[in-house]
Amino acid sequence: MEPVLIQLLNGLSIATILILVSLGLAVIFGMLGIINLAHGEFFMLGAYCVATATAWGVSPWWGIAAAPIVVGLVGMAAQQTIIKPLYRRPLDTLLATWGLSIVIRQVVRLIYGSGQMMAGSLITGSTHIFGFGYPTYRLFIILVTAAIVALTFLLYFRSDFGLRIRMVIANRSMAGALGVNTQSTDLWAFGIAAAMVGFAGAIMSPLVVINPEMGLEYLSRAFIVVIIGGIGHLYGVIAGGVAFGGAEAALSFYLRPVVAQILVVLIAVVLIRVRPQGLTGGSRG
Amino acid sequence: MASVTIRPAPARPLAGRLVASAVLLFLLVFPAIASDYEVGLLGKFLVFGIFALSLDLIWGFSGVVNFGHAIFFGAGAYAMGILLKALPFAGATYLAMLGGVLFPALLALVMGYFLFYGRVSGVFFGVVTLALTGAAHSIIIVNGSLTGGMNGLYGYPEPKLGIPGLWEISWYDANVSYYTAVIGSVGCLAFSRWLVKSDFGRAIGAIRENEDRAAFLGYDVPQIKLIIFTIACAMAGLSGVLYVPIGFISPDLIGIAMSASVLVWVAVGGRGTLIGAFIGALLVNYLQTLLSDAFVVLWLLLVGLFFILVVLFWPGGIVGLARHESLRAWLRKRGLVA
Repeated sequence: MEPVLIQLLNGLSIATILILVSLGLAVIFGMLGIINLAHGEFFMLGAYCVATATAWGVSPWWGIAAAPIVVGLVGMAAQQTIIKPLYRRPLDTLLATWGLSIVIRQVVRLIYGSGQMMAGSLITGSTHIFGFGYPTYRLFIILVTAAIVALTFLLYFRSDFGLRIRMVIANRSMAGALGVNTQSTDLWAFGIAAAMVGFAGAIMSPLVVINPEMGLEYLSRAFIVVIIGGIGHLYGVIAGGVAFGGAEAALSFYLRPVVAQILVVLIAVVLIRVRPQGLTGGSRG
Repeated sequence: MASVTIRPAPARPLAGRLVASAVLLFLLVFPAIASDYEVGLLGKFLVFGIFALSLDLIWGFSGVVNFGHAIFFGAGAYAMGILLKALPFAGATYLAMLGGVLFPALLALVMGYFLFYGRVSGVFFGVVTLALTGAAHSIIIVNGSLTGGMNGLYGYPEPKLGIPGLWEISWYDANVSYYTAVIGSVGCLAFSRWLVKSDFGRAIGAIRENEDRAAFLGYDVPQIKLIIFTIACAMAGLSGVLYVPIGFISPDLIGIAMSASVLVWVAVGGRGTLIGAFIGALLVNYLQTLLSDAFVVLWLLLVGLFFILVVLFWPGGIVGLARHESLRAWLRKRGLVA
């Protein structure tokens, strides 16, 4: 019983972080129709916020508080300078954000060097669930993710801002004609998505290796989650995250983690062939 | 889609033919006037040019952005190295070369089948291929006994060209590897030109411009995409094969950085122009060799910034600029082009 439960929690733990990373990606894609290849670097910047706080000798919690603001601002700046001019050219946005990811990585290298950074531990110890111990911090991440997902859904489906976002997604020009400021909606949606992934990077920072390259690994996984989950549905991200995280945790039980990760990517490609619309999608395009 | 329409290359005017002949002559006599180091360097850049050309075939001409193009470059190099090791007899080099082209082609066929028939297109194709690059990189590292893992593949017999058993020359010889790169470049460029001007090439162009309309006209879109993708990846494999005598076979060949570099070369040179791939690869690599020793980090930062600027303001790249209307009008006035 115990190993099964631990694997379940591990799967949940991977799934939550994948969901957190992919959520912003899904919002940006659903709304602007563009894919942000610098998304992984936003995650990395979030982790560096905590690492910087640790290096300065202040509480890592300050880093976690600063991450969404710092990364959100970076995201808004990127939206204004390189994404806005490329609205009607989605393939070129892909390339431009790829260039941006190179720039962010190199700027971080210039400032911090190529080596690894440390993030101070936030919550230590383990909590007993059903009679066995599990690291408290991982449980904390699961809870925080659940809260953020709930908040995102509230924002998206219950707030005025969410209504504006959904209007822009449904019909950009009509929304504009009805008085929605589409440009500021784009800007804020992008900023919020960036802040979200920056926060994800920050709370993950004590558990991962922090270096300028770390974003790449999460980027491709987040995309697979969005694609297998079903593009254009916010809840597709959750389905994709749970499927991906569960598969990875289950396979890691039997195989080396690297092999498990390779297998999951290959399974995802086969899945795309079988269900091009994703797990939740009815039909695409 | 991109707001830039890619015009077919003009029917070769006199100026174009003169320039082409001069460049070819220069390439042929280069080893006589340059040091072995410079010959090796230019050979390597030409091999990268073939690699970039193969990306341009699918990106520039069919509109499919492959973020995992390095997979096929690396697959060619690794297949070549592994076969050289496994087949230690005279003439094995040719078999290894064949394997180095066929293996990436087969890989592309399988990968393309799942993606194109799964209707993964546009930005999603880029994203999935990016994820596959990461997986391919891990596969190389995990299978250490076959690929040498992180250390790279070495210890394979010297590749030899010529007539097996009678007259053999070492492929490691600077001039030999240089001339194979030149022959490969000219051959691949001629083949690509022929391909894009053929009826099949026109069908590819139709798909790039409007996929739905092409399908409506009766073209089997996934099949055509799969064919051009396989051809392009076989060519990337060939560039990997030609790279073996002049470089190291290491997991870096398959990394995301390598895939990104080749995108930059094509974008800078001018996508959809074929020759732009060589110009971009030569220019970027030459500047990198000049500057990178001193400023690796800063150099990559500049590459990233430059890439953004090219995408934003200058989608035609260097060749696009050279073919710009005002420049053409200026040349026409002086009777230099038709």
